[in-house]
Amino acid sequence: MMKKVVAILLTIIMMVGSLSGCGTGNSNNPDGNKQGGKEEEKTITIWHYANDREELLQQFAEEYYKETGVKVIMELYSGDQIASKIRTAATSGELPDAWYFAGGKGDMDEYVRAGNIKKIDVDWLDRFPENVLAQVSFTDEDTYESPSGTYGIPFDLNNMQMVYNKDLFKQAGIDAENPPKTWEEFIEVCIKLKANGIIPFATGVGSWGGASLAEAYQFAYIDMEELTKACLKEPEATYEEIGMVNVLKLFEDLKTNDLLAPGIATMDLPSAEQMFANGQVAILYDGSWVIGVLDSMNPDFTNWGVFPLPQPEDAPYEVKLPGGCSWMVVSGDADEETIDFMEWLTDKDQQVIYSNSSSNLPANTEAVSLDGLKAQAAEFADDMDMVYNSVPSNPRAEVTETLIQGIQMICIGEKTPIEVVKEMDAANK
Amino acid sequence: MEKTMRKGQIRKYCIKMKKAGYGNLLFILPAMLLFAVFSVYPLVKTFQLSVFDWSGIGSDMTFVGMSNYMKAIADAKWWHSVANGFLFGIMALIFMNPIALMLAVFVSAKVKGALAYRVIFYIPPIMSGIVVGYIWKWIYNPMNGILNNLLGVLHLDFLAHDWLNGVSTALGAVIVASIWQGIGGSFLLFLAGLQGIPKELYEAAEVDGASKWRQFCHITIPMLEKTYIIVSILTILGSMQTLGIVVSMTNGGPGGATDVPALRIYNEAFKNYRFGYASALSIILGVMLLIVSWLQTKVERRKD
Repeated sequence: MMKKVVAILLTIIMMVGSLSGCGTGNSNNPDGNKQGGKEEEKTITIWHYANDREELLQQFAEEYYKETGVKVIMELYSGDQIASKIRTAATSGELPDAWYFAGGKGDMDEYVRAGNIKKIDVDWLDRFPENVLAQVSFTDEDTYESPSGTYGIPFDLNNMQMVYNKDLFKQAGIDAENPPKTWEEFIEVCIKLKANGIIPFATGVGSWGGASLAEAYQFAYIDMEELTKACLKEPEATYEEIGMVNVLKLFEDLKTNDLLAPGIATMDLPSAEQMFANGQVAILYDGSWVIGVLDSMNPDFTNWGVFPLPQPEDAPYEVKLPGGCSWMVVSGDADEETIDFMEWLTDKDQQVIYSNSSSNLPANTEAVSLDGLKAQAAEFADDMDMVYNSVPSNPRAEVTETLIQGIQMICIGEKTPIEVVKEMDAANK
Repeated sequence: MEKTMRKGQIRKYCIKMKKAGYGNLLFILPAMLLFAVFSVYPLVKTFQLSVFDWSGIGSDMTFVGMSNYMKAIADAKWWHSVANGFLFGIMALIFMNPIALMLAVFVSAKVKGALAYRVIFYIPPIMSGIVVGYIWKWIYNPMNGILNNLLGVLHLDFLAHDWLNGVSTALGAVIVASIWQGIGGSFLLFLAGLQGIPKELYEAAEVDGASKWRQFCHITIPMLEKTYIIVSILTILGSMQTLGIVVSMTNGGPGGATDVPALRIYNEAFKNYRFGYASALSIILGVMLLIVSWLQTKVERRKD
């Protein structure tokens, strides 16, 4: 009898033990109350991708705690990981108080409508550049369904341009202080580099780099109203009609002249950055965050410069730069405390420290001082006005997927631009 | 009076249950509960999601019936990834398992340092697919990778290639890496199977003058048949679910040439934000794997 009782007890303990692991164990503590503590301690949790700046961000968190008594938990993840993590957390309703928003305006619209991002209704948003704020603001006139207003707080600015190795330029007899301004000059420079045994160009074509470059050149070749027509739920124009072929022909140019790095079609951006840091490739299409990346990969490599995307001579409009911010969006219950922290974090004093320590561009315009920045950071900062506000995004994700895969195929000569555009139109139906 | 009658009925019922052994069911309840929570519930939930159009966030779900399944049937990208998955499986069956069997036979033959070999062979499977992918990406590197350098040393430069950059070579290159990682797992199962074969059979065969080869063909192979079935099923199931190694080596590129079912499902859910459709693909993949496993066991049973 005793044995039976013990066995049953053990069974019950095991069942309870097993299932106790299923609890949510939420450390976020949405009420901001310290359980069991005598005094209430406000806590906010933030997810960000800036794991290369962990020490600095933790310092900010500690300093803020000393000043206000509000505990800030900074949880940092890799850039590739965080988007999926946020998506999963949104699905299960476990988002933190604030998080880094990765995605386009269409994605943001979806998160806002699902109640995962709150409207930022404060009077200090004028400290940020208008063209940057426009990327996370909805209006009554736009095609999105979110209520009008601003939904993100910029933490730092970034933009994407061409970065180049000045030593390799000199080695090929190219004037390193006068980088190419037009696409034609760019191709000419690349051909010279190639002739001197230097690999001319690399970027993350295997992941999102190719699509980002194509997006920038859409501004040069396609009227934005026409692009909007192709991106409607019921498309009123095809990609072929609006001239997408011209954009993709730029990749064909690079392929036919054999200017792309080996392995380009499956190359991710970190691999391209590593090649550039090692002096294996002369030109890289990358974002302003590359300053920190190159510092960590090869601190001795400093003789490199930045130039805006070269303008194709046959393009009717000006090419623009992809860029914006690392956005912080608010979703938790402790929204008041979170917004207070954001205000503190984007105050001039903190932004100057952040910018000087991490070589990232400050989001607060008062903190932007080209004198205090590294030469390359200043070059990136100088071109922030070339960044586009927003680009019409296609609601059918398979169109973007077709574009990314199509660019890979063009880069290895397996498909032509017109074939890829036709596939995009097929996916857009 | 009534109370006494009820007590008697309960006692009778308990005795009946005890005789039938139902009391023992209580002891498997924890396992059943875990199975229900972590296997049955997700399966039911996945099926439920598969009949909805849902982006993965918010409560905006639209019931679409079987339309996700119909879409999947017509989705060329999905079937391309399935074909790639099967190719992974077939290549593993042809190359990986025979190599694993040979290694297991070799190690069980009491060679010097057998224990060290066991450990070495089992290192790749315990490594993450992502790590294995990066190792092989480095091996295949067109500029300074070991493979092309080795071909150069052997004066076979004409064979040097940008392995992961070509539609015709990328899939094969990833399959080789996957086989390299998988050999250790099959090896361990074969080794366990070999250790279960009674030694008396080999002793008797030796007395009868059978050569090592004949012993292998007439004792080892037949006695390992059940193990081989299990290893084959696990190989196909594993191959169809390959993900990490593909993500780190090619991310499905170039142009989707190395796309596999698990990556397709991941991309649909987390990149294209079509959770309902991704759930339908998961169910289809699950059913396909179930059918493959069932067919394989059926064929083997018929042989018996």
